[in-house]
Amino acid sequence: MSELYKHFNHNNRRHFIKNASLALGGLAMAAMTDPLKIFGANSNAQAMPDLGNGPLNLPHFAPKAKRVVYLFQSGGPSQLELFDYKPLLHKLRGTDLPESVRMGQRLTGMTSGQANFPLVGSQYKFNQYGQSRAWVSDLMPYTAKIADELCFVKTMHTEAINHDPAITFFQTGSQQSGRPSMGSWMSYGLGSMNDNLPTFSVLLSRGTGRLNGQPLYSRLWGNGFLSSLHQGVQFRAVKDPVLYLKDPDGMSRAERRKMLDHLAEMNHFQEEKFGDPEINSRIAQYEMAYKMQTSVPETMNIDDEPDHIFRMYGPDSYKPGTYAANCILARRLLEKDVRFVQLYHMGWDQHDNLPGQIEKQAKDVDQPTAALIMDLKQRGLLEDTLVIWGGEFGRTNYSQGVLTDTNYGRDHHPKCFSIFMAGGGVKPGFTYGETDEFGYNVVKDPVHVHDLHATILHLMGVDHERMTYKHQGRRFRLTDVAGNVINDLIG
Amino acid sequence: MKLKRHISVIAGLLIAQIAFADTGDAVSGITGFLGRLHPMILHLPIGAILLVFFLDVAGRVKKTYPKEIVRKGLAFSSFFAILAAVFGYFLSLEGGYEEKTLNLHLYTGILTALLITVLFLMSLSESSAVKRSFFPCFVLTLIAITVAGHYGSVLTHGSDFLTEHLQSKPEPDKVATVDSLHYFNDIVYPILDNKCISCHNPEKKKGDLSLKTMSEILKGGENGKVISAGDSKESMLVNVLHLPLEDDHHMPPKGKKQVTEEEAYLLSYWIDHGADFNNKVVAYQKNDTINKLLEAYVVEEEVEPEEADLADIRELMDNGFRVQKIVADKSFLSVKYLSKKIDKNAMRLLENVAEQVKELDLGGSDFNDDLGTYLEAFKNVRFLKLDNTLITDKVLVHLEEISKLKILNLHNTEVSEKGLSLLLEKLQPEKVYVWNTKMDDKALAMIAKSSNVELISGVFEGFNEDATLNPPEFNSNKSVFLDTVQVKLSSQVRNVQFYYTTDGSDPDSDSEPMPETLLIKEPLIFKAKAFKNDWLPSPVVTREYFKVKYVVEDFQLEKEPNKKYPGSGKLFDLVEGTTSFSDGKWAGFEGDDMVAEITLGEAKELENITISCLEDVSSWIFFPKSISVYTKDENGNYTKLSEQETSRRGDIMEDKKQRFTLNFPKTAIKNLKIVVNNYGKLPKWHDGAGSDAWLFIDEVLIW
Repeated sequence: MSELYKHFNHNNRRHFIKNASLALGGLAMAAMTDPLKIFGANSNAQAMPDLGNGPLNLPHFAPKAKRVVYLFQSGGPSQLELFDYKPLLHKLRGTDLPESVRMGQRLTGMTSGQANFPLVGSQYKFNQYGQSRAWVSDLMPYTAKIADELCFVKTMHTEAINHDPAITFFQTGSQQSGRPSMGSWMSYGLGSMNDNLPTFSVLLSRGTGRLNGQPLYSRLWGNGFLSSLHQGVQFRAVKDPVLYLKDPDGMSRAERRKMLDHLAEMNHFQEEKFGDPEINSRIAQYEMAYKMQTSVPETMNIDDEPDHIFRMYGPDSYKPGTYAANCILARRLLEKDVRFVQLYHMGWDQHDNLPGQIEKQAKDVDQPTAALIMDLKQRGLLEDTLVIWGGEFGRTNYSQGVLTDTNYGRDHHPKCFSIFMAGGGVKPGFTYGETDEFGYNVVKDPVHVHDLHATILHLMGVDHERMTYKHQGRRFRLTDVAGNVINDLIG
Repeated sequence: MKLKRHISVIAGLLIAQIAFADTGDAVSGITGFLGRLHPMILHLPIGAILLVFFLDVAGRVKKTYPKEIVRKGLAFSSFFAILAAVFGYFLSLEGGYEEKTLNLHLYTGILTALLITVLFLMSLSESSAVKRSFFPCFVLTLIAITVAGHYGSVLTHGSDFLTEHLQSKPEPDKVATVDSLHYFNDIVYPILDNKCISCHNPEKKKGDLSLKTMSEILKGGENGKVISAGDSKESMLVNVLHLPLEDDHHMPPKGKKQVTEEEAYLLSYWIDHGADFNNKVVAYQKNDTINKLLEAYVVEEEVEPEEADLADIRELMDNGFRVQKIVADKSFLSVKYLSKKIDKNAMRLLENVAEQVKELDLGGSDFNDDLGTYLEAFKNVRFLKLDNTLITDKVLVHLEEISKLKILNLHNTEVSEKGLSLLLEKLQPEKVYVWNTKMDDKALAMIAKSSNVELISGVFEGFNEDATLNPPEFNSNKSVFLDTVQVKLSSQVRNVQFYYTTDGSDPDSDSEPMPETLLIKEPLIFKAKAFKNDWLPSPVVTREYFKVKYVVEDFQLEKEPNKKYPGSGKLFDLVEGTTSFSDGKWAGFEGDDMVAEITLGEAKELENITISCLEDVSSWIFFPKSISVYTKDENGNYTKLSEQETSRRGDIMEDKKQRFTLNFPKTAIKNLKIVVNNYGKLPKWHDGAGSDAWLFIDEVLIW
């Protein structure tokens, strides 16, 4: 019904003003409802300038972070090899996971048929780093170097046990697909800070640890029921970074401009007739695409980066499409005030052959991630940019498949896993939460996915309960009907 | 009668108390328990007496006086009033209450119980004098019960409980900096007030301890002193916070609002630093943790300016500024200049909203010293970005009056230590970004010494030391050739020099430098390495160039490879695959052997057969079990030329390619048969144990 009403409303208002019989009344009405008065300024006929507060009048309170870069580690990095140090697992190596620890936890089809669950500790040594004495394994030497910048959460937990629902949950707050992605929510609620680039930008890379790992799909950065303006835009590491942006051969920019102007005119005509707001979105997107024809190549061309920056991000950073190169691009997008930059690095799904694979995966991301954080810092951007590193779930403390002297694997584990954040108002040099000695359950300070969402929104100056969108008769939120802000994470 | 009975019950209780009482003033079990019932029992007589009063008045008005009900009601009230008084006495034995108030409550309570009992006795009397004085007596009783009740509430809730919301609260002092906080008044006392004082006050001294005033805190309670100045570990005030929640001595008791970790830290810090009641924070040595915690106590005096004029905002937007509100319903603005060229006009426009601007970003523009004077107007700016501009020290002079400035970004400018240290004498921002300025590490260290500001500079150290070049990349995958092959190397890193060898030794910077294109005519082992200044050299890449004598064109397979993979054509096309089985260059056999009959036409002199295979154990792909080669004569008889068994080392899992070469004495061959045996069933240790293994071959080479 509401769609229908909207349609009527669109028509009515226009007819009301346009069809001249009531023109005078229309003017009176316009004066009465002059939005400028609400702003307390002298009334005049011009429209209210866009002060970046969006349709919901956000932020609710002063934001600590204005931009987010989400370094999503797709596949489920093993917290036990990276950040969550569990010496007990070495002692109990090969013994069965006690039922008193597992407590009936649902397993994936990949290990539910296993006759036993032999515990296995990390093959990699752990040490404490920085003044904060954070535990980091030898797999992440650069991350260890910057431990005092990082805020570790050891007690993330989720509800899903398989990749698709788990990633979808992280991205949209729901295991079923169809809701808007986090970046789309930010774009909708907080709006854009750069009219020439998409507010929600997406960069993908494949991990070298598991080249044929889980794929990703564009609905993860989809706008769901929000306007398609808020959709994530994927930047690819090829000649045409954004698809369908290039003019056809032989078409000049002036011609394109003329064509777009005419098209917009026709679209406006159509919009007035039918009142479909999606037409307005379309007009805006054509305009955005036109601007992106120049702004995207400018951003994506990293040849002007000096050599020492490439060195900082590591040698992979020269190679387009790698995680390292994407980290440089992320910084360039953030420098241009893109609100939400989402990286995905695939290949963290170490069911078997874990030691061989995770070394490569960790090498892919360790130096570039640390470099990105420090590069943002030296430029003053970390002040109001929130960096988040983490996957969709963790991995089991027992081996999937047979445990041998040099080899083991780990299945998906939703009950505890580690992520880290930096900048944007989180406590630096801080570790939050505690898992049990088995690295299986949370014993102190759990952080649910909804809680993380609530906290991220809080850092952006948004009360997660008040950022809603009405759809199908219900007000939707990123945090659905749950989520608590974890105040202890906020510095 | 009833009266006798209920007096005897109460007397019995009193005797029991005396009989069971332990020595001293400790409270025995049963009396202690009954004492705790006091707060419950006491409401019964109050309710009853009020109801009776109502019935009494109503009865007088309606002229139908419910004599019997009044009597029974008073009897009920009297019984429980006496019981409440007795239980109240038991409760008072526990101690911890302020004596004066306690006594007032005790005596008024007993008086009330007596008065109710007297009223009850009066209601029994038929004498008219008694009847006449009944009502005034009743009113007196109600007054007594109110007074007694009031003192009771003072005991439980504190003396200002009733009037708390009537009194105007003193506004918290506006404190602008951490240093001007009064440690006890502003930090310690509010914690005590919130979490402790409701039970430890002069009226309700649990454990004989009040924490309301300095002298009381120093005095301690029944378990001795609560503070040992200079040593929080020895201070009960802190220790009880850290006891397990289940412990009886844990404070605040289970169920009450707990002291947070941060608050406990603040209390310990105070005690460790002498537990002084007068000092301001400035007198304390502070670390980062305490600074952070104290910040929460700073009440910043933030006068919100009026809303900026919309016309001004619009004009700014039209002139290259982005103007956004920091919080939707506040007037403060965040302004960024989006273009490169900036001039006086732009700055003049900006001045119109100077009061509202809290965040100002002129970074990346041509902002220069000449425009610096315009910055003086922005008194409310907290976050100022002048990075990547043309400014020098001259601009910093204009910032001296921006007392609220917290974060100043100067990176990539010509600012020097001279200008910055002058500014820091006047201003105390929290952070200054100074990467890529004229200041070197020495200058920064000097500034850091004389100022509390956090200076943030470049962070290449530790990132660049072991920057290693990527291995050189081959422009083509071709390593098998018939006549010649061209080799080109490249690297993503700019300006890299490659060195190579062909004799199997590792190349170094004194080896042959790699030309743009290297032409290879003979089979050889090619090794190359990348070099560049400031970088560690790359790892060595090795490629074996393979010259075949013949390209097989006529062949027949006993079984075709699995349809999912490109098929038999890939076996003899001289194009090798990568370690990824799905790259389109591999032929895959599920459970089957590869048996190929090859017709060479004219007899060819051969001495080697090479089979290039893949192993990817997690994808169920294994190297072959064995390989054998046969010749076929005119009569169709096969003669074995050579055979090779491959062996696996346990459960090593690696994605790798390997060439298996069989040689035999040089023979002239017309027809040839090659058999590559599949690994068979997957071994026990494998996830797919018992299933068919896959055999993957990308090339069969004859030479």
